[in-house]
Parts: sequence; C-alpha cells; structure tokens
Amino acid sequence: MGIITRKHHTEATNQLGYYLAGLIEGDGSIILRKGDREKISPKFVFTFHSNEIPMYHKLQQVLKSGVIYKEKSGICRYSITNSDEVIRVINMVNGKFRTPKIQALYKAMDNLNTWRNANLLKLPLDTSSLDSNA
Amino acid sequence: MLDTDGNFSIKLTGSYGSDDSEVRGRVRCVFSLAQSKLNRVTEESNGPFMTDISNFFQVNLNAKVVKSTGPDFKKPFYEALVFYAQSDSKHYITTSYLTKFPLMTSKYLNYLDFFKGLSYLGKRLTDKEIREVRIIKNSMNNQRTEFNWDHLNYFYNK
Repeated sequence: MGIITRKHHTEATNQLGYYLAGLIEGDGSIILRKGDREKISPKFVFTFHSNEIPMYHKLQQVLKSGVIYKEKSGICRYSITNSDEVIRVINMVNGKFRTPKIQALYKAMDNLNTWRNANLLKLPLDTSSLDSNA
Repeated sequence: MLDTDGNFSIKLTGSYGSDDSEVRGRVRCVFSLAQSKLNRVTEESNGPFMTDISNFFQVNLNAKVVKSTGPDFKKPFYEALVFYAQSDSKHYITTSYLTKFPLMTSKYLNYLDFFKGLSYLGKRLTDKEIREVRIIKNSMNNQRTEFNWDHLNYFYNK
C-alpha cells in the first residue's frame, strides 16, 4: 500500500492507456453523430459525480485536452471533442478494451477513417490475463 | 472499470452485546462489481467479460434486477450481473490487484477503508473494535465528507 509501490506501478509500466480504456468502458461514452452531422468528429464524454472533479482535472492535465463542465442537475462531464485529440486517445486505448463497448470504438474509428483519413486499424479485444494490465 | 463501477463496503454481523457473549460481532469486508447484463446501446451481452473478471477474483457471478438511478436511464429497472468478493481467504486477490493497478477516483479512499477493515477479520470483536469499525463504516462511500487526493500525485502518466 506504500506510496513507493504505487509510484512504481503507475509510472514505470505504461499503464495510462489501459487505465483510460477501463475508464471509458466504465464511465465513458463514445458519441457518434448521424445523418448530416456525421462529418462532425465523434467525441468522448465521461460522466461523473462532482466529488470526482479532482481526478478528472488530473486526467485532463495528463492528456492535455478536453473540457470539464457541470450541468444544472449537478452531474459533471469531461468531454474530448477535438478530432485530433479523439484520434490520439483512440490510439492510446486501441487493443486495450475488454468489453462490448469496443463496437462503439470501432464505429468512431470507421467515422474518423472515412471523414479524416485517420487510418486507424481496429485492434481486437484484449484477452490477456486480467492482472497483466490496469 | 473497477474505478467507476466497483464498490467497497464493510459489514458488521452478529451481536454487539456484552464482551462475554458467545456470538460476538464479526466484520465482513465486501468488494463487488456490477454491470448491466446488456450493453445499453448495442444490447450485446456483458456476460463474457464479467465471467472472466469473476473467475479472476474466484467468486460466483450472479444476476439480479436493479432499480435505475440517475437521469440517464430510460427504464425503471434493468438486469445486472454482479459479483461479491467477501470471503476472508480471497481478499488477497483484490488487494494484490489493486496494489499493482491502483484506483484513482475517490473510490481509492473507500478501498483504503476496506483495507483497514481487513485487519479486523477472523476474530470476535471487542466493543472497542466494533466502535472503531463503525467509525470507518460511517465515513466511507456515500457518507464520506473528507476527500484526500494525495494519491493523484502518482497518477498513471504514460
């Protein structure tokens, strides 16, 4: 439980992409536009309680992108909308999903490949042992 | 995913009467994870990955009907898959996993409380210990008022 163990595991082991994949699969949404608005880039939106704002601020700092806002209902969202940033995040999590939400990721990749020549390759689900990554 | 949808709790069971009672209170620590049975958008089953995760934690996966909360949900009830890791002898799986891949949301603080609870396992508790456990219980999860974010200094960063 020591801070040193924590530091070792979070800094030295390339785990941000895995952590982010799990976060998207938990609290994240991948929003796609349809019809005339299909050309607008897909976006990532994380929905969370205001208690979690410090964690999402930290994530925003680390990713250097996105905006955090609070809705009237009190629900907070962290949204990454810029297409280049969305592509960067997809590259970080590609091949690290473990749930059916990968279908939404694939649709976002199809959209970005069609409209922005993103050239993203759809990697399969991560079926490695659960204790091999975050 | 554990950081968003996992849950940690401490339960007190048994009698908390006099210290001499045979059936002294005991503590039980519970780590659980619940997911809707079907993906809300694609309606694909979350069964396979929940089966993998429950196998990893060496617990059974159960189905239950859950009342929806929050404005995002359109149906009043939905089917969920859930597992509870609460066997004293299996907690090492949870703690070794979460030491290796630490949580970052405020759930980490609930995990620390759960971790404190582990030190009371496997014994009949004295009145003093029961009071200590109650203090931990009453300041975690929804009852939490103190948020320490020092752990974000060690956020995943690459």
